[in-house]
Amino acid sequence: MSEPELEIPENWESRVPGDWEWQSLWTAVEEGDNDYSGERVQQAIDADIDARVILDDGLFPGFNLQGNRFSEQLIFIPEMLITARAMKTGLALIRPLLAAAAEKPLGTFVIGTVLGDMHDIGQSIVTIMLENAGFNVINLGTDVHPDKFIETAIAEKADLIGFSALLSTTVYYQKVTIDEFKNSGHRDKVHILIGGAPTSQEWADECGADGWGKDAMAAVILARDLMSESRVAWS
Amino acid sequence: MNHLSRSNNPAVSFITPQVRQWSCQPPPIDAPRLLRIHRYKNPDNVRPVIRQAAENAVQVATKLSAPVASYVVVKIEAFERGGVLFPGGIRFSFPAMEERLAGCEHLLAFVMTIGPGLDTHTIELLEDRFEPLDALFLEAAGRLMIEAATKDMAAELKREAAKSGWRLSMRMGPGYEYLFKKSGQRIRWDLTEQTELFQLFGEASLPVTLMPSSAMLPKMSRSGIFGLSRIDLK
Repeated sequence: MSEPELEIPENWESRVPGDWEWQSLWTAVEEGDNDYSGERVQQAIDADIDARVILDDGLFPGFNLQGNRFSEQLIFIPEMLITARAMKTGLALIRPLLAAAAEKPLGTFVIGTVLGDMHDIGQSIVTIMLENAGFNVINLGTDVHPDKFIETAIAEKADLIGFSALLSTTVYYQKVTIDEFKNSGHRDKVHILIGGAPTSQEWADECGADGWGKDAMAAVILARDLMSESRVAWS
Repeated sequence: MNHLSRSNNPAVSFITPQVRQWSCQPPPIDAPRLLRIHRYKNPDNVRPVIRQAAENAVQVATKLSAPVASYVVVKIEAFERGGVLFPGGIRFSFPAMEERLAGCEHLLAFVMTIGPGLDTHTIELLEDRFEPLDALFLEAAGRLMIEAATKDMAAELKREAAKSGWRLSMRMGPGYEYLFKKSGQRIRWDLTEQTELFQLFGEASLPVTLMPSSAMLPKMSRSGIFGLSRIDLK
């Protein structure tokens, strides 16, 4: 196992003023310094650097470095959360600029904790990671009825749906909700992911999900991969 | 210091229809265990900011938790095919229950919570202050806390029951899977039978609220049953 390295964006110097540097922001995101992250992103905005450039060249390198370390199990969820917080601080400043420039999200992801389960920490963490990765995330909260998932998927023309469950007593409702999607005739229009402490790949296969997010980063990678797979279009 | 403190009258026989209360001081939990849950084997090698967050979570969880439970003992009227019947027509329809409660004459049902304090603070950390690391550790601390409190309560109930000549069975709860020896398969006790479990308490005021979806509030709550059989003194 090799230590992942910072992937420096090619020709980044060509997209910023002559004396600009990104190294301090890469380090801030990597180490979770959210105060500096916000400060440096604001400086970039004030320097008229394009919001997309700030995101791709300024924020993602540090975030991706930590993501790669997480995938290699060199760091764990707490470190990722510190990085995610710093990333989100910067992202919050450029999000209005991205929206104004009509930057499209990677996809629309509806997420929630299944019926009977009030636990939200897992899906909240996945929401943070998905938003940082560029998804439009609609978080329905906890104790979500299958009908609510279906209504929202239709209304938002969702690309992906995620069902979280923390309790072994409620994980069964992941299958119930997937079955309700089948009964509603909309199952083939969305990719469905499941996750949560009592879940596994075996359970994902058994309940008919398209994938299992064993953790927040895995969910993001899976969501990106599934976006390139075909499905029936919303009418 | 023993952190258990029964609020019911010890003079009352264990087999009594009254709904009783149990409470305790927050059980001790520790930051190294919180860190181990999140895969840090050696707390000394953890970044100070993360170790500090775990230590803070332990302090906050201890401050905000107030474990309390209600429990009631009810007579088992009959074992029926595929279920158990209680007074008032309340029935658990779970096929594995008869063999798991074999020899039991009564059932003890309980609901427990560590209170709403952690729920409120976790939401505040996530939504108002955006401190997901603190929220993650606090949620884990809450789970450790209610697990420990439930074990403490069960241990004390077992001791108290034994004084009156009764033995508690293994704990069961709606929503969990159990081995059904007759079929050799694991089957799930339907979570919706939380409704029947709560009905066993009648009109008593409880520290836990059951939602229509069978979820419980506060979020850090547990429910379950024990069978009660006579201890053979021969």
